[in-house]
Amino acid sequence: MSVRSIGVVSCSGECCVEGTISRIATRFVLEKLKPDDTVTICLPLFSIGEEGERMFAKEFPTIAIDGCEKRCAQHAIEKFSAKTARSLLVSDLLKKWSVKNVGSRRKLTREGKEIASKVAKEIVAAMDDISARGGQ
Amino acid sequence: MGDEDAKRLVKSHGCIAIDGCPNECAKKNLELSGAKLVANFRVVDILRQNRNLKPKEITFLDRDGRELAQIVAEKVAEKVNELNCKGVVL
Repeated sequence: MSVRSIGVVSCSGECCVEGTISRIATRFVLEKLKPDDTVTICLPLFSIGEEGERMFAKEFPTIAIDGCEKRCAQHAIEKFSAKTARSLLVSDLLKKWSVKNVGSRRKLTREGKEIASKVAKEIVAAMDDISARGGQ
Repeated sequence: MGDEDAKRLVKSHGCIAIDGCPNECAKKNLELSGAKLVANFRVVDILRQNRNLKPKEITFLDRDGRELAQIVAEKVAEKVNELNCKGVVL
């Protein structure tokens, strides 16, 4: 069974460059890689209690994209809606890929943009896996 | 999401909320956290005051988007100066 919509919830943190990469990777998925299958959930809107966002995350599978160990996106979804289907931690991915020069929170370097694109592909792989497992 | 350090920071310092849209999530999140909200801005209002600007791109801002960001930053900086003059602890 394929799953029509998957929610992608990105970190909205400003405290580290991984937050910037999380948001840009999520935008790449929404705009270029999976525009028809992806719904993004606005984390600040979600956390103030907007019912539509919370209901979506209860009924559809979600992927949390977090910049740092605080994992705010994952914790918010699991606190207010349901367990996330997948969770990606950008700081772990950067360590795994031995990435050094991604730029600043305000402006990514060319390498930073390439890494955001690589994170976006990880999101797409997670979406395909969820879809193949019927939403699990 | 209830991070104690963040909650302590917003309670002990004056906070300025900068919201993109009329939902005002930053302001409401601060209010829910018991923060000391000293000012708030809505980018949508500042965009209305600058109708010559038509930012279109979301992922990477275009020229109009960057210009609008600069205007918002200047307004926030002006507010910070004003609050400093009044002795508000930021």
